[in-house]
Amino acid sequence: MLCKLAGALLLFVGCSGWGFSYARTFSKRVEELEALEGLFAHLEGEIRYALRPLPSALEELGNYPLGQLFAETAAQLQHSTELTASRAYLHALHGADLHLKKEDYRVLESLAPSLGICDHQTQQDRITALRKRLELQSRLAREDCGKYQRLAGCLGVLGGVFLLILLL
Amino acid sequence: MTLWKLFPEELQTCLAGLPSSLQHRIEEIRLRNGAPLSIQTGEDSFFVDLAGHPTAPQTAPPIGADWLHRCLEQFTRHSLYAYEQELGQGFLTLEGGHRVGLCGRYTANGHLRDISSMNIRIARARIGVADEILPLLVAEHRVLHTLILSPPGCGKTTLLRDIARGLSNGFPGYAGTQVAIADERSELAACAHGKPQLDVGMRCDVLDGCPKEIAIPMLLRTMAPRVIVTDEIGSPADAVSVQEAMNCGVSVIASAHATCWQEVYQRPSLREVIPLFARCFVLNRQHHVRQEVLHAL
Repeated sequence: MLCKLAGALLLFVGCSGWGFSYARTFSKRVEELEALEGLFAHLEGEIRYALRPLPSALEELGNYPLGQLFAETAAQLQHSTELTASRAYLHALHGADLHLKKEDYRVLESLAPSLGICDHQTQQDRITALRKRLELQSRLAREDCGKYQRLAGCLGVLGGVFLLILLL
Repeated sequence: MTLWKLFPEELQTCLAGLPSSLQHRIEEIRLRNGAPLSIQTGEDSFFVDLAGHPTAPQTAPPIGADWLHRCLEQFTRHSLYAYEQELGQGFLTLEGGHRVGLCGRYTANGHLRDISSMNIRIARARIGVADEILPLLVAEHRVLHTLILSPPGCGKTTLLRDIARGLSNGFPGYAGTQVAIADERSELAACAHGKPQLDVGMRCDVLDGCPKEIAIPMLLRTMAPRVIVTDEIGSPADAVSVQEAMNCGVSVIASAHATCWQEVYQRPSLREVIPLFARCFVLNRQHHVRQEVLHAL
C-alpha cells in the first residue's frame, strides 16, 4: 500500500512539475524576446554612434544576460577566416539554448543576410526593423503568456490527478 | 606574418608557400578579378600560383570574384558600415597600417561596389631611415617646416613616421619635442584600439582616421603640439589647414606626391603653401633621399 501511495505521489509530482515547467517556457520566451530587443538596441547604438566593428560590438554584448548568442558569433568570426558574419550569426542562433518559437527564430534569422555587408544607413535600418518585429513578437508572447501560462500549470496538476484516479 | 591571418585560407596557403626571403621583401600584393595573384618587391613584379611558386602569367590560375569578396569581408572585419567613408575613397587601412587600395564600380551615392581589384601595400617600420636627415630639420632648436616628396610607393610614409619618431624622442643635439600626427589613413602610426602599432616616439599624439582639414585645427586647439606631422597633402582644404598650423607657430612636416618640387608647385591647390616650407626632400624608387632647395620660389 505504501509503495502504491509513493508511486501515486511521484506520478502527481511529475505531472505537476511538467505542467509548471511547460508554463515557465511562456514567461521565459517573453523575457528572452525583451532581452534580445534590448541587446539589439545596444548593437544599433554601437553601430550608429561609434561605427564599432561587428566582432568587437558583439563581444561587448556578450557581457549582458543572453549575450552568449552574440559572444559566440564574435568568437566564430575571430577564429575563422572562412565564415561570413551571416553564417556565424545563424550558427550561434541555432546553437543557443532559447525558449523561442519558430516564428521568433524566423524574425531573428531575418537579420542574417544583411549582417556586416551593408552600408551604415542600411545596417541601422535592418536592426531597427528587427527590433520592431521583436517588439511585436514580445507583445504576442505576453498575450500567450497571459492566456496559457496558468492553463499549462493547471493542466499538469489536473493531468496528475486524472492519472491518479485512473490508476488507483 | 600577422597580416596573412586576415586573408582567406587559400590565399594564406599561397603566401605561406613563398620563400621566406621573399616574404620579407613583399611591398605589394595585387589581386585582380580574373588575373593571377601578383607580388611586387621593390622593382620586381611576378605572378604566383596557388602554392606560392612564381610562375608565368599564362599558367598561374586566375583569382575569382569570390576571393575578392571574402578578402573584403575579412578586411572590413565583417563591418562594411564601419569603413563606408574609406571605401568611398577607394581604400581601407588594415590593423598594422597596411593600406588596401580598391577598384570597382563607383556608384552615384559615393559607394564602391563590384570590387574588381585590390592592392595590398605592406607597411613596415624602418627605424633609423630618417637618421641622416633629422639634423637638417632643426635650426636653432626649432623644427623647420619640411616637405617630403616622392611618387607613390617610394617610402614617404615610412620616412615621415621615422621623422616623427626622431623628433618626438630626440636625437644627438636635439632633446625632442611634442609631436602630433594627423593620421587620416591610419598608415603613419597604425593605431589599433587607441594604441599606435608602429613606433612614432614617446612624445607623440595621434589623431587617427580624421580628415586632415579637421584633424590639424583640432590638434592645434587641443594638444598644443610643437610639430604636426601629416601624410599626403593635396587638396585645397589640406593646404589651408597646413597654412593655419604654420601661422600658429607650429612646425609642419608633410608629404605629397611628386618627383620634384617644381611638380608639386604646379598643383594649384598647393601652390600657395609650397613656398612656406623651409626644407624639401625627395625620395626616388630606390628609396634614396635627396634634399632639394626651394630656391626659385
